[in-house]
Amino acid sequence: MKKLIAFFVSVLIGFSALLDSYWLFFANKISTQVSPDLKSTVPTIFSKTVKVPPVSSTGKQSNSTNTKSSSTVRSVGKYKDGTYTGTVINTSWGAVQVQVTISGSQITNVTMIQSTSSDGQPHSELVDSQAEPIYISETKSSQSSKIQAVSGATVTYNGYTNSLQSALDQAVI
Amino acid sequence: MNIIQKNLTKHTMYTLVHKTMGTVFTTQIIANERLSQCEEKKVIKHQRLLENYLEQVDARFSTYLNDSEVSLFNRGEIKITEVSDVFIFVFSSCFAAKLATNEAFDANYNDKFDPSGFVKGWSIETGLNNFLKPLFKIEHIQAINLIGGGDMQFETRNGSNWVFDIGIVNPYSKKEIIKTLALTTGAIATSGISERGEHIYRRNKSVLQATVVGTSLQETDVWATALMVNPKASLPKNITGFVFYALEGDENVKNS
Repeated sequence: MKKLIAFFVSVLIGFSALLDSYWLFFANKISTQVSPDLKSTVPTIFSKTVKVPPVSSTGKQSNSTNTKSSSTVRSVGKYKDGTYTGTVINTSWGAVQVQVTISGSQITNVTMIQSTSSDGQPHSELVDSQAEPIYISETKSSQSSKIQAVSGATVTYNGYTNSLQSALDQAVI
Repeated sequence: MNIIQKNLTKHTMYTLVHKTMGTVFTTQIIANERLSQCEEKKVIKHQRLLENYLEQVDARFSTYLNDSEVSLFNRGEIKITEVSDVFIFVFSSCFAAKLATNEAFDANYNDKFDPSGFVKGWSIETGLNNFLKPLFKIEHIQAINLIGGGDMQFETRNGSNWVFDIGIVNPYSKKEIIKTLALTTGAIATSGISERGEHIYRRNKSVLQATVVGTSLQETDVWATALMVNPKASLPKNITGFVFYALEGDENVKNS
């Protein structure tokens, strides 16, 4: 009898070890095999809308991770015909949304919509100020010993940029 | 990793250099006393995090890399509904910038999405904010500047007497400075006719270079590009622009 119990216990242990290794090595693979199907669904950032809801601009956000927190309705399933509007993305110039039109399960149009703040005005505040014109003939100062950094256009060629830019960044002072 | 140390009148400047996005990124740290070895190690740790971030941005948004998200998107291999959230943020920002600049800034080039005119400035700004600004915990550090290909975002500790003297390069002679600005905290961007990866169609051919000063590099970088295209563009509040025109009689000048 004791031998029989020991045999059953060892079989049980063996079986659980087998199950464990299955979960460890194969379960993950199964989930990645599923994911290609999920690709045909519309991701979290888009939700199907009939009408664009009025949105209020919450001001400047420069951090890209903010876009994640604003995802709302998840749409699961194959592409269905209709217009999908993305969540509101706050940029330095105001809030915008991506709008995707799907027809015959295919994306037929991608447009962007500018969202406006509660007062109906775009977030960016433009004033009638213009850039100060400077003519190159005014050039007077050359390399100053007081300068720490130099602002200039990034030049075209890779190797040239590297050597010139590091020279500019390090040679000063 | 190399830290270059330079003694200024009353401060010490530490410089770290990293090459990515086809250009050079330079971190400048201004301290009022020499940093200890332990503090230098902290600086290197944060610089590594910054470099890792910039490499990730390049891998995702480079138009020169075949497997970047931008390249996949432009070849139609991924759809707008399949792109990452950060891609949507950049896509949206480029669109909003186009509207704000009256289409002088446009990330669409030959029907392809090319966000390079936005991505560099944005990654410098977020890179400084997320990875370098924590170094202000070291009390000797008075100011930090992150420069990428001639554009920079910088911050000076509150109450510090440090001032950055930033020169604007002469578009004719890259070894000459045509103007010097004294700034503590903010961003400065310069666009020129030799800009890499930015396809600028100048309406006024006498414009050689545009420099824009503001608080956020993602904005100033876009406005610098916009001023190259339209030097008469209206700028938002708290943004200052300098447009450099060619000499009269310059053979490159074509009157529009």
